[in-house]
Amino acid sequence: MARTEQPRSPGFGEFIYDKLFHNYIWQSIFRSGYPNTPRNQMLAIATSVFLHLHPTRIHKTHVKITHTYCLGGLSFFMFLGLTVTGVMLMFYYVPSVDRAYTDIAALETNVQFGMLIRNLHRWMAHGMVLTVLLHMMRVFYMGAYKPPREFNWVVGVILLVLTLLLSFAGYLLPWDQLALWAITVGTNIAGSAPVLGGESRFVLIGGFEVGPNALIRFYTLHVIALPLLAAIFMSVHFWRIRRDGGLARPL
Amino acid sequence: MAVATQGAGATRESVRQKREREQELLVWPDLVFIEFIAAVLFTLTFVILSTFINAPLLNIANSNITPNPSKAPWYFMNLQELLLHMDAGLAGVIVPTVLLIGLMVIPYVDRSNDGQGGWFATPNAIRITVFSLVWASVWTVWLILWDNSSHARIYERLPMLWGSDTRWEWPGHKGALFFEDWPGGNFLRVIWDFVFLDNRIAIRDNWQWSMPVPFQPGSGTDGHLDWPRDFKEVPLPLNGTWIWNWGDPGWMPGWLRRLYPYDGHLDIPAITAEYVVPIIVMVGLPALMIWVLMKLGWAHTVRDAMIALFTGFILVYFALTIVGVAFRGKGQNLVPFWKVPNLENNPSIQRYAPPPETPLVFADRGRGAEGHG
Ligand code: HEM
Repeated sequence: MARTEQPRSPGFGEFIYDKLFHNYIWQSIFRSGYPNTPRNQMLAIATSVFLHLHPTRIHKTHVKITHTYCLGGLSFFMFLGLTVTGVMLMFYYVPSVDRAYTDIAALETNVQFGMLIRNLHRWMAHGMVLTVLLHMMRVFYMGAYKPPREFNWVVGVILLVLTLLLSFAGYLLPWDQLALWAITVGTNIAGSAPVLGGESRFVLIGGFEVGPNALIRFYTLHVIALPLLAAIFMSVHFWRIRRDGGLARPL
Repeated sequence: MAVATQGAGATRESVRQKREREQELLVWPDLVFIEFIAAVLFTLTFVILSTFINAPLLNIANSNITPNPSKAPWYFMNLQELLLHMDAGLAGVIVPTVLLIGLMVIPYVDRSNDGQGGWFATPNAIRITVFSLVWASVWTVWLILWDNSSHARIYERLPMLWGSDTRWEWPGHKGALFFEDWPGGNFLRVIWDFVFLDNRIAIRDNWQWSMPVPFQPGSGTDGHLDWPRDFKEVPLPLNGTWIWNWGDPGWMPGWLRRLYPYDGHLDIPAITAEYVVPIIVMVGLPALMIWVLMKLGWAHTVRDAMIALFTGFILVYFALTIVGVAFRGKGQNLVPFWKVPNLENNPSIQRYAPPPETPLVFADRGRGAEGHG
């Protein structure tokens, strides 16, 4: 029999886990204790809504940190963290020219932990751009885009664009000088297209200069349209990793 | 044993499967725990970072006060930097579009499975990466200095390195002529001038030559074609002739009319400086890089070429970002990073300062107590 089929004796972590969670209430929710047989461990992955994204088994080189440096996973964590902190920011923020700036300023002074939430959102947004770029580099230098993963690389490039757009759309929302002028510079770049440049800029910011219309457009893109698109493409991305037989490895 | 009784094909298959099984681990616990630890470290890092470093908030948006310099977010600063070196449409839209499409087609161009799934797993991968890093950084820095005319200043100051206080002039540069007696000397002179132009815009404004011609279409009638004067208003081919003389198509909607150059003129010197030279550089240098790599005997396969191109792209992406963020000061001039103005110190756009806390005064209660007394 293969080695992996044998039950493992519980280690210290599993002992603690069992003592902490093996009680009446916990069991009413989860129905089973720590999965300490290979069969139960595979079932834990396969039957959980959150974990079944994974395969039940994985090649042993792929759990080495140096294989992925967790970069794709970190990008995904950032996305989740940004969603959570973003929802919290939405409680306090109204995307109108009269209120946007004061709402953000109020986070610093009037809202318990407001500054922390805003900082988290800001730094994770920068962090995500960086980890996505690094993730792309790791995939490239490993030749992990090669057949049959061609299409997942394309999905990745789309995710890169969506990440940049998400970050860019969010940049306007504090409605301070930094935001206004960065978006002015950025949308001017879009407006310089040889054909239909002016038109696309007009559509993007809802006018000839960055004003109230631009604010509401960027807000809508930032909190609904782009995150939704990104979530859809991420689902496809993860699904394709499984369909393509897990991560790439030498043939 | 079992092997002997089975068909050869099935045997190989089952042995292979068995070997694969033994290489595998269970996702629970091996991967799930790593992910858990990564999530914890990630959360801690960002909470600590966010406790100590605050997100910027400047004064409220005001479209009448333009900060100088105005900068895009950092990941678009490379485009903003590119904008300084070519036509805005080329830098801001065409180049990024071509690059994104280029990124997407990588797997469809490089379709072999060599070196899949391991870091730099093809034979020359590391050498090629290092070579293209050096190649791209040297050229990027040089081109930025050149377009800023800074390289000319570097030459001029070279003699000062060994203590002389005269500036150095290129022989034949700026006025001095020594080609004229040679056969074809005038032509050489034009080339020479081109090579030692101060920067890219000088192609449009400062490069001057004239060529005798038997007859002259269009503008002047002095028997000479002069750069740049005679090249500034060149009508589109056949425009205004019996073939193409439709005039203003007023019935077309505006956006369609823009596509139809019914009265187009070409400004050739501007097109040369804004499109032709930048495109030649952006296509030529990568091509040259691959040619050199092949001559060196390092690059043989499509994968090798992809490594060189991708590395060059990544380097230029980050190099332009760094130059844009850290070396562009007022008016987007190239300055050392300690002279790049910090927006937060500019009084008109400085950082938001929370209003001083109003002290809580319990005046009423105090008075009440007095009353009792
Ligand atoms: C929001 C952005 C992205 C997220 C959340 C994401 C997430 C992931 C995750 C979690 C993995 C598993 C392996 C790993 O962690 O490295 C992965 C693999 C992969 N990603 Fe991404 N990714 C993103 C963007 C990109 C980009 C920009 C590209 C390329 C242009 C890309 C191409 C790929 C490919 C080809 C694989 C399979 C790698 C292999 O088989 O070894 N992804 N992605």
